[in-house]
Amino acid sequence: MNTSRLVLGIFGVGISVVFSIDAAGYPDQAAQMPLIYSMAVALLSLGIVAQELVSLRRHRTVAVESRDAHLNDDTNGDKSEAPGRLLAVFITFVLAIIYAAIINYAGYLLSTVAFMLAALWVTRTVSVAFSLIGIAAVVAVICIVFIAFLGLPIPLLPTFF
Amino acid sequence: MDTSLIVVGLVNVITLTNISLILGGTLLGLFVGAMPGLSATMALALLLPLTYNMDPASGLSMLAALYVGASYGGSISAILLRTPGTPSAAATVLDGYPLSRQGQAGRALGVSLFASFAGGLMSGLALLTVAPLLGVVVLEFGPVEMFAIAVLGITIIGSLAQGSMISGLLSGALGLLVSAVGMDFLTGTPRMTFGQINLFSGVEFVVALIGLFSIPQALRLIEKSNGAAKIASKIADRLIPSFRELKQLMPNILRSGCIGIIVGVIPGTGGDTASWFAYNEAKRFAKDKSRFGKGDIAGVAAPESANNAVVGGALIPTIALGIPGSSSTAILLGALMVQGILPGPNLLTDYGDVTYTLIWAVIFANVGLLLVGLMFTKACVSVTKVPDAFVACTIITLCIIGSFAINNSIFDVGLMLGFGLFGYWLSKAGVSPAPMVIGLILGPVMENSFHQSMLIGNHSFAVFLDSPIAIVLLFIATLSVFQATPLFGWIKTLRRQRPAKN
Repeated sequence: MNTSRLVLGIFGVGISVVFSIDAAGYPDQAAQMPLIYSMAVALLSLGIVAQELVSLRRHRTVAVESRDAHLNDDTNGDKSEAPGRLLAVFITFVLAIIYAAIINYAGYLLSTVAFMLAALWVTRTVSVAFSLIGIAAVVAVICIVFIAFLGLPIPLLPTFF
Repeated sequence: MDTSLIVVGLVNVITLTNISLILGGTLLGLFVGAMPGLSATMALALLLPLTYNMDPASGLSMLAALYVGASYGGSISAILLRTPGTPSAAATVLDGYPLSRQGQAGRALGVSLFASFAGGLMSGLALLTVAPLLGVVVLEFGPVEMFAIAVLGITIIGSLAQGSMISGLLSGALGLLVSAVGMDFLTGTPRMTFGQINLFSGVEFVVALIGLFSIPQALRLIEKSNGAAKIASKIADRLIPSFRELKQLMPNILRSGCIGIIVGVIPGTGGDTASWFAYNEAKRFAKDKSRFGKGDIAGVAAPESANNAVVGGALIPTIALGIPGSSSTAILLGALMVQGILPGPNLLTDYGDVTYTLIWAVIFANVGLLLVGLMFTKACVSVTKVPDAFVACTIITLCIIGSFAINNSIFDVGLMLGFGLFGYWLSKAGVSPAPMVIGLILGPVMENSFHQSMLIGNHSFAVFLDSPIAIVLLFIATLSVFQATPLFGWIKTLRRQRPAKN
């Protein structure tokens, strides 16, 4: 069973309920399509939930049969991902949120360098020399393209000085 | 077909700026495609904000060139690293890598480049001839038929997407639901905005696109990064294949190109399907099948010709019907929308100058690919060695800056990160985000044509049964949804059991 799929199915049902309740307050014409879409999402989400529950039942049946056949066999464990890498993914995402939140105050240069250094430190798979040269190159290219060429209104340096 | 628009498109492309952008886009696509883990779709999504300040012809030329470049670039790491740079280069690994182990990496890359060029050029010419003809037919369509086309598009894309059919359809339906967020254009009612003024104009398509395609890819790269150095084979032999070899491979390249165009036209299928199909056909037609998988050059030419031919093929329904054939063409359609050009049958008439520019850009990008590929393929070897974690951090930085550039709004950045997290969840659940993006594009088209149809039919659903074209399209759409249900499986099982009993 894929837990992410099961939760996605439940989420789909939830979101369609929220849309349907909200659509109840719209004029008829405005509510028509959101209601149709919500219904489609709800039905398909229920389909996914049913699919996953059936697969869980099958998995359990197979597991019981296999346990009966090979009492000492321990090969039916779930596939698990390295928790260290998932933690790195989570921390990098949190760093990205912080980066987005502070970019207007800390300025493009400081926040980008800090984000990339922190994220690369978390992943611990890139050498320091490569990181420093790479960060300098990326920061320079983005600066030229987005700030100099496109005129993006992001302060280059911190605004709190 | 208005030939003057074809000429206008050609003239738009052959300016110094646009030719430079085509060459630059192809080179960037080559590098992106060569990096395992990065896709053309992601690169297109990241580059889209850059086109805001360009005129439509320049922006589209660059994006089309990037798409073409990445389609070939995937074969570089497939041949040298045994890791396909893009999913559509997976079939190339089978014979490309054994060839590079035999010291013929240059020969494999050269044939891959020429096959990509031939396949891409064929599809570009098919696009130039077929899309306008189909466009003429579509011009006769009214809102009822357009609604049916949009329904068919979303159901076919959903049911043919990777993973189970139900998940593909759910992804598409979620896209439609998100497209309903914002001010209703008929009544002015804000829908699902929660009082957030930034959502009144709806969810910015590009924001969703960057989040759904780029952030999950970056997070997956971090997940699989382990610090191990990537060891690429060296290119010791010459890159340009002999005329004799190309002549021998030509029937295979042409056949694979045709397969690529046809597969590309079917919405929801992509380069990966086409390349495996072409590889199997090349093997079937080969005199000595035993050499396949051990380093047969025909096993490189076939998938590479097919996956580049998909580019033009996938653009045929995108341009003629306004239905994107793949996630990459959805972004190209998004690039048109960014310039204020809405998808639909008027793409080839009212906006013909821009649309024909895109078509010519695809053709010129293939010529550019040949030049850029010959000059820079060897340089791509060093690009493939960039550590995954570094690429991931660069992608996240570009995503944040790029999404901010759309409206200079931090709200958009937050929304993009939200879509990114959702996209990562979808990938964990084995659900493709492509139908969701296509749902986002088709949602307004569907809603608009639905309301117009209901007005025509005096608010009766029977209006959809008045048009034979709409009936056929909606029947196919129903069939594609029906085959996703367990009922279809039971019927199939019953049909199989019946002859067995007899």
